[in-house]
Formats: sequence, C-alpha cells, structure tokens
Amino acid sequence: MRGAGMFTTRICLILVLVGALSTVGFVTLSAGGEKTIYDSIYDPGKLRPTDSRESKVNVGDKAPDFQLKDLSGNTVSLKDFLGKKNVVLSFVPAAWTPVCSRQWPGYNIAKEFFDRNDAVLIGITVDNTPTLYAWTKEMGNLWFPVASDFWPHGAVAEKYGVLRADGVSERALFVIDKKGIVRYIDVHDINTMPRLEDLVGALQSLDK
Amino acid sequence: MRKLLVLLASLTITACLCARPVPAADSFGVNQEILGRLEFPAPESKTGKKYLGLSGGDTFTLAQIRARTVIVEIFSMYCPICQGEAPTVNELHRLIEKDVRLKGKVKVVGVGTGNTPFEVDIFRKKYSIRFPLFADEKFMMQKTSRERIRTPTFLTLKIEQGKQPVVQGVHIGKLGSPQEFLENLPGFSRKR
Repeated sequence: MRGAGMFTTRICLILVLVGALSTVGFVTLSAGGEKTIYDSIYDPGKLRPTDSRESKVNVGDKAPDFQLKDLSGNTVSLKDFLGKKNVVLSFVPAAWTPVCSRQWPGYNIAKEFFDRNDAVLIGITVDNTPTLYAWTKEMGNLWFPVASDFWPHGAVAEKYGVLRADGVSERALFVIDKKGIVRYIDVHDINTMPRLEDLVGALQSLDK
Repeated sequence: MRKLLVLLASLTITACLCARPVPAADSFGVNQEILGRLEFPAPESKTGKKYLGLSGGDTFTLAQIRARTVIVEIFSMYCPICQGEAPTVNELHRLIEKDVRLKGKVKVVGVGTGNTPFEVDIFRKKYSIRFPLFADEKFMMQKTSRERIRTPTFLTLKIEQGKQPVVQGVHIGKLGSPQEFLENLPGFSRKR
C-alpha cells in the first residue's frame, strides 16, 4: 500500500511540474525565438491622450530657442538653423515604451521627405543620455540627432508646453520654418502614432 | 501530503484546460474564421493583381488568392526588425519565383499593420519590395489573435478556393534562413 501511495504521490508531483512547465513554455514560445528590442519594452497601458497643462506655443509664434546635448555630446541649438533649414522637433514621451520605440525608426527610413523639404529632424525626450543611448542603439543608425532634455528636467518640453503632469513629454511634433516661426503643431494622442503623411504634408506646405 | 498533491495536480490540470480554451477556429493561436473574413484592397497594379490571381473587385479575401500556400508577413514600416528583415523576405520571394516547384503555388504578401498606405509605400520603395504589400491602418490583423501581434510575424496559410484559409505555421520574429524556411514549408517540404 505504501508503495502505491508513493507512486501516486510521484505521479501527482510530475503532473504539477508538467503543468507549471507547460504554462511557462507557452509564454516563452509565444514570445518568439531571439531577443529583440520588444523584449525590453515596458508597457505603461493606455494613458490619458494628452496631459500637459497649457499650450504655450501656437502656430505663428516664434519658436522658443533651446540648447540641448545630443548623444554624441554636440550641442543642438535651434538658432543654428535660422535662415538655413526648416526644423522638425519630435518629442516622444519616454524611452523603452511601445509607440515611441517605433516612431523614430519610421522616420529613419523617411529621410528623403525631410531632405526634399530642406528640413532637419531633432528627436527629444526627457530621458537621460545613457538611457537614450542604449535605447536608440536598438533602432539601428539614426540619421538625425537625438537630444536629452533630462536636466533641468523637461525644461525644453516645458517651454513648448508639452511636459505632462507625470514628468514625461507629450508625443508632439513641431515644424519650425527657416525664419524660426512655428508652422505646424501636432500634440498627438500619446497612445497612437502620428500619420507620417500629415507631417510630410506640413513640410510640403512650407514653400508656399 | 498526498491528498494535497492530488488536489494540486487536479487543480493544475483544470487550470491548464480552462486557461486557454481553444475554439475550433483557432490554429497556432490565430482565429482562422476572422482571418478568412478579412478584406484587403485589391492591388492597383496589374502585376500585383496578376500575381495574386485576382479577377476583379475592389477587395479580396486571402482564400481568393490563387495559390496553394500563402505566406503573410505581418510587418510595420515603423518596426526596426522588419526593416532589417526586408532583404531576407525579398530573398524568400525571389527563391520562390525561381523554383519551378514553388512558383505560382506559393505566394507572399505583406500586411503593414497600423500603417497607412503612404507609410507602406515608403517601406516598399525603400526596400524595393516586389510582392504585394497592404496597409492595415485599423489594426484589423490584431483581431485574429488574443496575443498582441508582434512584428514581424509570418503566417503560413493553406489555401483552398471557397474554404477558409488554414494556418499551418506561425513564425514570430526574424525569418532566419529563407532556404530553410522553404525546405520546411508544409506541403512543399523536401524533408521526409
């Protein structure tokens, strides 16, 4: 009897183990084979579409100047482009989050639309430089500078009125013409990707 | 102790059975009924229409594609892995087209999920993609799966005219060697 009891115990133990393992196995399988950028993405869930307190900059205003360090340690300064280039500022909320991790890789294969409209692109987040470095490295080689607005925290985002209450920025696009005037603003729903044709349309309308 | 384990074991079994109810429509976690109903805009180009074997109509469903097997790449123009994989998927398409066993029987299509037609066009031009790509701006592909669809994902579908497509394989992430992928293609495998 005791032998049979041991046997049942063992069978049960095995079943418990198999059950636990198969659950783990399913999760691993559905995550796919190799590690990718997506394995490191933190999902914040659905957020309030926009959450900054006021609009400080409007279309037709002079764009507030700023200086930020990019990932190569160079200073990115808006006034350097005055009279030379149109400028697109792309604020994204945070490194390692779902939509943000894709927006810039998309722009990375759309360089021709910026070139054609004599525009440069500057990516900005409130993350610190090491985080931005590790994150953008996963995107491949970006052709545009990425600048850290970490300290004083979110100061540039705040100047543009796109610093959210929790300290990240909105997902916002600003198009600034060669005279330094803001010509297009899209403070987008933070949960979704702005359509690329809307930005391209704004760039194309600059010449007219 | 033994009773506890018996209880645990039966609970585990029940949990395993209940946690993921698999409706008959599901294969590899893809709801084939929903997949079969999805309507894609017919390609504008003649070559695209000819490749898919579509006669007319503004939209088509996957089962209308003239093929025995359709490989669907779910991608996004915004996804860096999809960008990196584009040459490999082009190679897959090229290998199919030059193989008499596969040409005409195996077709490749791409669905840019969450992408607008404009965005899909950028992807097509950037990587000189010769097989048809479709925009899925409303994330309708996501309706076929309870798991969040990651890009790229490759679905291998068995096609029979008038029937709903049967999912024969789901590959998530990088494709790997296109030769190997084709060697293991259900229905065309050279391996015994």
